[in-house]
Amino acid sequence: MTNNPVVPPNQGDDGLDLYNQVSEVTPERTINVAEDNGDGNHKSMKERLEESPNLSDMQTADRRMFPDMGRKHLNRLLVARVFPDVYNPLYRIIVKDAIKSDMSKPLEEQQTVGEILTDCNTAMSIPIDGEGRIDELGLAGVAHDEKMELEKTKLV
Amino acid sequence: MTLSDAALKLIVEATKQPEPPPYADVRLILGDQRSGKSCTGVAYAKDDYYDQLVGLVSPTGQVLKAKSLDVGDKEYLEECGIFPDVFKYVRAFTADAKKSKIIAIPQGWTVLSPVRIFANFHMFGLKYAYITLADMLQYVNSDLFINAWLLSDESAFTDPRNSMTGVGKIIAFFGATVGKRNIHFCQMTQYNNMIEVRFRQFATTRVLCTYDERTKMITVEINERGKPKRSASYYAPRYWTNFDTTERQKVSELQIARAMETIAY
Repeated sequence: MTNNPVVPPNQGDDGLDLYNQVSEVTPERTINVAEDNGDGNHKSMKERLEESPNLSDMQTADRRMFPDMGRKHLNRLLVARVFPDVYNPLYRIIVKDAIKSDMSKPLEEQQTVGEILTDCNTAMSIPIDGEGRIDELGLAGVAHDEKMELEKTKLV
Repeated sequence: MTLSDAALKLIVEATKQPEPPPYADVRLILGDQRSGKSCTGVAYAKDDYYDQLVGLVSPTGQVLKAKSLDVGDKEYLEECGIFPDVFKYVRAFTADAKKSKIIAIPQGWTVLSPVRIFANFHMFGLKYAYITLADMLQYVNSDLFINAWLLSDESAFTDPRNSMTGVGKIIAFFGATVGKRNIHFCQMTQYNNMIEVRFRQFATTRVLCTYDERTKMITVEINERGKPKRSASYYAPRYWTNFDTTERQKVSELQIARAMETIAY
């Protein structure tokens, strides 16, 4: 670029004329590396980023530890407190309720008995003695710590 | 190489006034020496450049309208057993834009794009402007540095030791206007404290790079404001044709002369 005095603002062309004056194109370099198209290596960085999961580690952990049960009351149960002495009767009630409510659904939307038992057992076992709430708070705390570390790096 | 009038006209027609960004796009690309920082900066700019391509121009100045591959084009190529390489294949159009065809970019042809790129190192195969610190000061009030990618390698522009000099103050002022200028400012450096503290605070995205010599893959961990952390790996040699991995920043003769004056023999 030339060594001119300070250039004032242009009017109207968003500096395009000026950019066209100062820019250049030179041919690509040749490099001695064999082309490797295996395993997605033909993809650009942007394509690879778009493929990567958009969930943070915390969100991934949250989804694994608190899966979607498919029923609202079971999802609420995950962060409730279930006392051990009510575990068995409550388990029987929600399993029977799930089987009965499924009977009114179309066949393709019905769950098998095994699936209902597994879901209800998961929904009941996570919140025993409020452990589900404690785990959720633990995840939130780790996420907060990560955020604080990031803020610190701005000043370091 | 200078582009023909037809090629420049195609770029002008394609240049649209972009929407103002919701926040200033300042990216710090960090990593040890030889970890792929410069390559990642070039990758960001090149991917955007090819994403918005509008045509191809031959060495003799012949212009062909084109655009980058979309999802359907990529699926079609995969069905044909061809890797859908966006840097190799484009969809070319006839002059009246009524017919189109996927073609391989011919050898020696240049890709046209309205994306502007500025860098303080030399680039190849893309239309870009090489700038020095003096150029940034000279053109700071003009409309040159708007709607563009600005790639700053090492801490030549943002050295914290310049922060109280006239140069440092103007560059800090420039950094504060990155959002208004709609610039994607990529600062490549080894450590946070090698850049001026204001730029560390302006930064909205932090990228940490590591390079695997054996597989030639660069892994980037990206921490973008308001979004979850992401990481991905990409094949570095795809971008080695666009810059010299061994290029060193030159020190100006004036700076060397001033430093020599301070040495007591």
